[in-house]
Amino acid sequence: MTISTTAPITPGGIGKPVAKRDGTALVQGRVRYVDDYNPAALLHASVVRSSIAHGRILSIDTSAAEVAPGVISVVTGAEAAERTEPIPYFIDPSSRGGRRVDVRCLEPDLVTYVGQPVAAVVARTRSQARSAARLVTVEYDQLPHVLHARDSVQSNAPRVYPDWPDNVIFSKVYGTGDPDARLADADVTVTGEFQVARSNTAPIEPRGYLANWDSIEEHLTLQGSLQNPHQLRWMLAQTLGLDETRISVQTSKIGGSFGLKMQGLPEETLVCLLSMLLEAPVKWIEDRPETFMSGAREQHHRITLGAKRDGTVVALKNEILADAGSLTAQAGWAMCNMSATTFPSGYRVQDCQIDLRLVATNKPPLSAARGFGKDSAHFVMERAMDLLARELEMDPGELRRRNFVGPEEFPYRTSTGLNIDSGDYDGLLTKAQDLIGYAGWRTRQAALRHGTGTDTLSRIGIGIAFEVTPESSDSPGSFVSGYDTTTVRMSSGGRVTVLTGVTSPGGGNDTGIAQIVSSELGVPLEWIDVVQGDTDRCPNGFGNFSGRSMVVGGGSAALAARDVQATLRTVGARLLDESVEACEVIDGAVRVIADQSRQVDIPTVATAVVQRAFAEADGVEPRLESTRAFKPGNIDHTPDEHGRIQPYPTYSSCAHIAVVDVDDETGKVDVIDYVIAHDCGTMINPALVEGQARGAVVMGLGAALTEQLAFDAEGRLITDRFKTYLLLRASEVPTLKMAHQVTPSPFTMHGNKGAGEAGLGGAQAAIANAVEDALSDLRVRVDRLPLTPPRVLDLIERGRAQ
Amino acid sequence: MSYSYLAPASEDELCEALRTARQPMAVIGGGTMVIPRITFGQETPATVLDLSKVHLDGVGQADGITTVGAMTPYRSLHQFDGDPTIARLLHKVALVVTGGPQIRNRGTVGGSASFANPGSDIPGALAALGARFELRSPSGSRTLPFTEFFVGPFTTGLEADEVLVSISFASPLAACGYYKFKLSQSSWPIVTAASILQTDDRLRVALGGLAGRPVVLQLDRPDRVDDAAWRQHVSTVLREPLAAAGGPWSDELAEGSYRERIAPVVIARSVADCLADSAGRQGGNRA
Repeated sequence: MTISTTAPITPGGIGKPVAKRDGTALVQGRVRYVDDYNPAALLHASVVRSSIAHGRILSIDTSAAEVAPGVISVVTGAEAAERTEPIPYFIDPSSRGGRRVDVRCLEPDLVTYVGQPVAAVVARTRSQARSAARLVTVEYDQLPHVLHARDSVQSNAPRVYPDWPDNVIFSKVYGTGDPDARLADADVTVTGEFQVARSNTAPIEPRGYLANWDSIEEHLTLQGSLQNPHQLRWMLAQTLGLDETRISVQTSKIGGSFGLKMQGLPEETLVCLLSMLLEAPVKWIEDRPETFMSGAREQHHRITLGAKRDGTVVALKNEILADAGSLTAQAGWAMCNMSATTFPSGYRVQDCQIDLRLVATNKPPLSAARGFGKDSAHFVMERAMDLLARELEMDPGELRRRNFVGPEEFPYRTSTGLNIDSGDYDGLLTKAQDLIGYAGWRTRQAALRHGTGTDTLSRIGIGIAFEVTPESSDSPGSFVSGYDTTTVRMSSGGRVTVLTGVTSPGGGNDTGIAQIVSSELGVPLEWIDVVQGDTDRCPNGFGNFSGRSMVVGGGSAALAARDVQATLRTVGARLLDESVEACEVIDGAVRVIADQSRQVDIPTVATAVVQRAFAEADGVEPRLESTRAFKPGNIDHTPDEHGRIQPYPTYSSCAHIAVVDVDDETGKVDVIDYVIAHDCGTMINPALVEGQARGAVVMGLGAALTEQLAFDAEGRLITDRFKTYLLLRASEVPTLKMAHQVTPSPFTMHGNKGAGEAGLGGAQAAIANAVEDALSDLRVRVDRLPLTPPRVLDLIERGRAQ
Repeated sequence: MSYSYLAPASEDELCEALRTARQPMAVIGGGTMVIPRITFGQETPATVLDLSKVHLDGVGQADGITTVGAMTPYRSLHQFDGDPTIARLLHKVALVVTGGPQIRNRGTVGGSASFANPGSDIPGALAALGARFELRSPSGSRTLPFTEFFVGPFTTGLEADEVLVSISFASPLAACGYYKFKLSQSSWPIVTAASILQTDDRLRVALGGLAGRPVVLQLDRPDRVDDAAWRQHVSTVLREPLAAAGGPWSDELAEGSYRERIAPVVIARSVADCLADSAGRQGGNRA
């Protein structure tokens, strides 16, 4: 395995734990989020939402709202439908053999969930808009609703979309081999049913958009808290019937996103429409209860593993029933596809069959969420591996080691078609076990169980989980693109501006990209500014998703930086009266390699390129700027003989070990020790990698322990604030210990792999496995998340009653 | 949304405000509950009455009676650390109120009592203390015992034109204990138990969160809180007052059945804290 970079080691360059460039400004409150922009004559929008889960709109009475204080306009779905087209899907289910419906910015006819936008009110203040929105009354012809996937698949279930023959949005079978035959031959089989609850990404900053239609220039500018400005510009061109060149999209500073702010959501088009209708700037900022409508995940799995007596897994079958809620033009519905494809994870099982059904229910849609379905696959796969370990009376770590794809087997094609680039899974597990003191915890657990010693803990449980996370996807025929584009531009004074198509939702990839440019161009980090998220300034790109930003934003920045560096080196060598080969560009200067005392600083060289284009720079294209795209290797869209494509170039991996203490009397689970061993190939910035991994683990711990969206029988969300939707607080998360392993990807510019999603699924699995381990004497099965105290106490009491 | 805002600066002005206020009226103590409710349209008051200028804060003691002003913030109760009598239980309770400095600085004892959220610390603690509630209305003052003040979930004995001005209780007591169980740090309390060791060596325990209003019981003092017979005694004694309070309370966070199952455990942990308090103070006396 080789790394293709030859970049020298520089102080702020690749591999250094440089602090986030905007970190100080963020903590001092010196950044602007979308809600901080208040242009003159700004108007504020509030969205009127369906109060029922299913029905036809008969009439809308806006008269009271129209005369309410400050109100400028009230727009209904019928009016919006005259001025806008349906929202194009980020990934169209019909292009994957599934079903679609038209999704509009305001629904004119059929509402399918409580909270669906049906009208909008614009007023002089946000408070006035909100008050007036409550005065809009909608008359419905109510239809029977269905809230759960298990009910939605019944033949007599209400149809969420009445003209469909059933509620299935999408179904597909994945895998190769003959798992039925292997299961028939297996020494042991285990079957488990697992439920993943609906949760939410809960970013600190909700969504928000500020649209400004310039009626003289006939130009629309949309600022917002969003991840994908270029795709959104294209989308708005479709929905609003404008040429793309008449639209500018700018990303404000983003206070967290986690997939939620990928485009395709109704309010994006809506706010632009309102601004165009009123010829005034219009802002809409999402309320927290609105943020909580977006589902991050909700699935049921029925999985069977077959194995030999020695622990070798020989077959996997899994039936996934995924609950989409209502359809969305955002990418959220497609997450289940990656749940299926992620099986059987990093285990050497070539006989697999995964049956996926995605069904509609009368709940709000899913929105893309960190993990993108891969997290649920890891929860289920790792639970199943633990069931097997228990059945075989084998240590769960040992069972996993016997089935890991070995380091010498990469690239490894999985049964579902993924081509895993590189890894050392055994090494990861060893690092995790060493760091947490696995044997020591097992000894302490045994002493507690046998009543020896004086442990103050109640029930110790130890859970292992492994995950391999496909990253940086490219989905054919969509704007899920596996490449990106960057411009590196040097001023005549030597300052560098990097304009890139990727965006940063708060994770800090702008810092990482600057480090790459620093190394590749040979200038100090401080000389470099990074511009992201502006369709007017940045080259065409695809923003942020799928752990892609450092792989393709970084890769394209490196290519562009090398071009500029070549020009500097050529002209610098002439200024030094040396051959190009005799010189290098490093640390802000062109130097003679053999005589470090002879150098010319880069501002001088840059000025020479610009001002002496017909002298020292004669014969050189006098351009201190380059725009390059980077396509990683290992993406293949040509279906193989099994119809499989390979959409993911890189595969990060990690091993988790959680230690929990379960309170016997209340069912409360305390996480008392936690380790993650993490491998994302070359780390451009270890501090950023660690920040992302810790964040993903904590999000996974929340999904495992406390976070769930709940609805009443009428489909109304009842967990719509942080006192009912419970996030973990810092005081209940132990210090997360972290170890790194580096197996570079041979398919990316610097050997790096996508980072930021890995951690979420493993954390869920590690906690579930640890809790079941803590209760092992009761022989109960942890089959659902989150493991709230009532649920765990149920398990304990059920076990005792057996 | 439009409402009149009244901020009386004396008790006389308060009476005048109560007399003239258009109903429905929202009363703001610290505002930590009511302001978000108004913001989200869950309350649409015609009048917002702000008590912050009436000088209803502070803790006093006279003739063995402790009086806590309705506007006393949690933060003020922190200072009673080590005080053997005054507001000792409230001090313990205030120490475990979470939500950050904003809540501890703004949130008030009287506001929490008046909001009467079953899943909150204050109602149960005041019930344990046998508190009496002084109310003010345009027609004068009256006092309610806690049994008539806490009527049900989010419901008190306050009339529409009446506000709580202070809370008083007999200064305790041999020892007290407090334990609250939450699903996680960010959750409302699910079940709270405030225990007081009485001079007759029996225990008075008040449970919050278990039912729509506080549940009070008298228990024998155990030698050990994990004694099986005593645990049985707790479960038996609990039955009748729980039924009288309307049975277990359910909300988004936990079903009543779960609260009922863990109530004896929460009582035991509170009593353990109380007995440790008692032992510590006897030790202190000996020293």
